[in-house]
Amino acid sequence: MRSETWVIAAAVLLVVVLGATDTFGRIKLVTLPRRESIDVRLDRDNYTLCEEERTLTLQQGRNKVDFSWANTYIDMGSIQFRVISAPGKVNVLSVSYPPGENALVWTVSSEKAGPAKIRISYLMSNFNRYYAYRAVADREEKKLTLRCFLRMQNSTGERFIGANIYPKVGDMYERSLDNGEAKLILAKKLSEVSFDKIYEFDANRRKETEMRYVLKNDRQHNLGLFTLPSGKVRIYQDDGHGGVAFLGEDWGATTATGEEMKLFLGLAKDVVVKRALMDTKDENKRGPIRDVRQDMRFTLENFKKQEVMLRILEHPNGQWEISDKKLKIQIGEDTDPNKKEEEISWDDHVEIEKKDVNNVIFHVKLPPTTKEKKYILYYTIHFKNLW
Amino acid sequence: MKKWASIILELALAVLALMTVCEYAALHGTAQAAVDIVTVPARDMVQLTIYNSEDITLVKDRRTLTFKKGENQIQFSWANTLIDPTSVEIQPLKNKNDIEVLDTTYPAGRHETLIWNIESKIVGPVPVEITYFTSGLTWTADYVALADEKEEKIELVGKVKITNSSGEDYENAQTRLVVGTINLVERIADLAGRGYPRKNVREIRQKMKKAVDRWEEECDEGGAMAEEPMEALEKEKGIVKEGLSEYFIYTIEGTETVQNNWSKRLPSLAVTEIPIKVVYRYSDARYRQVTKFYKFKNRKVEDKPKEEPNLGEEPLPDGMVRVFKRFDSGSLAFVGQQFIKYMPIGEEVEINLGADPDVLIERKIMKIEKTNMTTERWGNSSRVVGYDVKYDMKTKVRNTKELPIEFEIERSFDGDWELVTQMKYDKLDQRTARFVLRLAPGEEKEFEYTLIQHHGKNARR
Repeated sequence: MRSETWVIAAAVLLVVVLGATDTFGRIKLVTLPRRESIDVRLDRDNYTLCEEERTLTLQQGRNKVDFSWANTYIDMGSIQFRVISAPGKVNVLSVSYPPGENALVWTVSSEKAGPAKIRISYLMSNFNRYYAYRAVADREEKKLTLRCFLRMQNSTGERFIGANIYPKVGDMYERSLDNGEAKLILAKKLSEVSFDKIYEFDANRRKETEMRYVLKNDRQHNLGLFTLPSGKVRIYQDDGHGGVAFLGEDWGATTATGEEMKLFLGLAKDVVVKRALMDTKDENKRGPIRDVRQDMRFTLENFKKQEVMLRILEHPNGQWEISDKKLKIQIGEDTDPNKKEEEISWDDHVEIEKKDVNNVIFHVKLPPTTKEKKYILYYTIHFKNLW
Repeated sequence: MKKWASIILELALAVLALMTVCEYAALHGTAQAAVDIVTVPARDMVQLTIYNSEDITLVKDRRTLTFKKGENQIQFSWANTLIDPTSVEIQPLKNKNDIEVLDTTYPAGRHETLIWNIESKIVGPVPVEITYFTSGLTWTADYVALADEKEEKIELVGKVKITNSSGEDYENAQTRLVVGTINLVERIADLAGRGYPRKNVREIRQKMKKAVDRWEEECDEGGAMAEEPMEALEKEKGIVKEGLSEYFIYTIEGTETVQNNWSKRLPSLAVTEIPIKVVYRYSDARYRQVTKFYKFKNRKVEDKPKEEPNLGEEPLPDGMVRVFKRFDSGSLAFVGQQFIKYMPIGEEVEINLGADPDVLIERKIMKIEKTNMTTERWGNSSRVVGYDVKYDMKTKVRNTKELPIEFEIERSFDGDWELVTQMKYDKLDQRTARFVLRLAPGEEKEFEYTLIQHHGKNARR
């Protein structure tokens, strides 16, 4: 239920008290000018800037303008007073802060009497907002329609009526937002966004292969108009029957133009990777110093009907070197006594990308396999100069 | 059963002029003074897409709304359900260019209501689709595997069971089940409960749980679940199975009514004559007893008529497999049960049937020998700093069954080791070696190997 206490939030009271001194009790409420417009700017994540315009009737000489805000989350230090138009010159002489009140009093000197348009700006807290995305991919998983929503939750204690809301993404909206109310607005719709679907195996994360969508925020992919704000991305796919089915969701990180937004949607059970450490041996002993070699073996299976691009992530550390890279086809089932392995071209199927000293990616072109014919990837890593 | 939750859709005609004339009323009055409720349309169609890896269901709800020209306010509320309020969306199915959703408002202090502001360029009825996620609808798969007496083939029967404890009745719903593991970053039940006092969610959940338990008890007693009387013999419902990205989607033929707190079980798969391999396994690391497995591949059974259902056309969803053996006399024996994980098309299914005392293994160390000892001076004396230990091992296996078997023996060794043997073996990783033997009925076999373990300075790791 609405509380009655915050109704008089942020009211500007014009006090015309010529010659009155601060030693008297403050005299309030001579005239209450209506707020003519309010802008709410959401471009900075944790700050909400409000700018409101009102018309005051100024007397010639000294005027006192009283601004108070009960039960409203206004950052007192941020309040600014500007004159937009006035009959003559107007100077703001001082600001006084009455004790124990959410209020301040501007002392303004006006050259002439008459109506003056003023703008009051302040920062508010508890105006929460977040972005959320909904993407619908096509049947082929090549392109998607991305809709970016802005959800605002007004818990500032203030009512915004006919506010001009300037979001970080998209155009200005004129909306009313009551205290305690939330609003969801479509901020931007982006169509024909091309993306990559990738399969990723990282034994440090999990034993299964992950399916990811990678959105590149550039013009080539029909994005690149603005930095994509962080938010939850829910991805659906056209189900081929006039509807959609949900594929998964992930948190999308803030993605500047030219950067990639990587989204983990779910597990790709058709692409199976088994990683085994086959042997660890000391080598190249020099007194107390030695190298350690580790032989790795990856069994790669692809139960799909088409070739996939698989990324295997490895995380070595220290000083290391990779050798003895081999790609083989195992013919025969695992327990078949007559099974054999035949070496095939590494370069035709695998590319090693050393991202940095702790991150190596094996990009593998993996054709369909069966239980009787699967791919085995070998490599040896040498950790150097240990003691 | 008393219906205690509902989704209400109200088409509210807001008088737009009121917004400017009376700001206060417009702000607070959407469901109060300034709103004129015109109609509460019934559902035209509802579709459920239920996931089994997470507690999430995508609901598609079709209704026909009558719009007026200009701004229309439509109120949607979902008291006592487990709907994720952030997921609720409305879209026109026709006149898409004439109807625009301006925004969605979640009024202050009302947790289970939202109001859509929709701008319409036309007057009249328009079909719309409302979609949202709910928690509380789940589905599971389970299987019965019937093996023949010789354990050469099985018949696999799969069922899917849908349980509705969402707080909402879904009548005549088109039901789709998604097989696969999706990623969710927040649980739908938590999102649904946000804004409630915590206790309330717990209460809803408890109520649902109790009702489901009660219903299941009634079913066990042979009561409840009275289906409509059948005039003639009805056929079992078919399920259409299609790929969806990395998942599979099962669409149940026709529509289903899944009332709140009810469950429903439907056949999804029945394949006969699936060739199996019976494998026995002994593993130091995993099973210290000889354990029996059925293995079969999720791929097309050859020599099967085209029109007959077959494997290899869909993945097998996670589920409990109960295995029985059917004797030629027709009677059944329970062999074992195991929960299997999702099996992609082409993958091998392995069902662990538990320890089997009919296949024996005896492992013996025949000789221990220390060799290659190296010493180092230690003050006035010397000490051993490196040595090898050689173990001559003998393994005897016996198949007391009347059927031929395959026997896998996995041995685990620590440290720097090597094996010297005539026997073929596979090194699975740096600790494990696997021997595979094939034994005829009643056959006994013996094999030898020497394990050499390098210690101290002799060890190369």
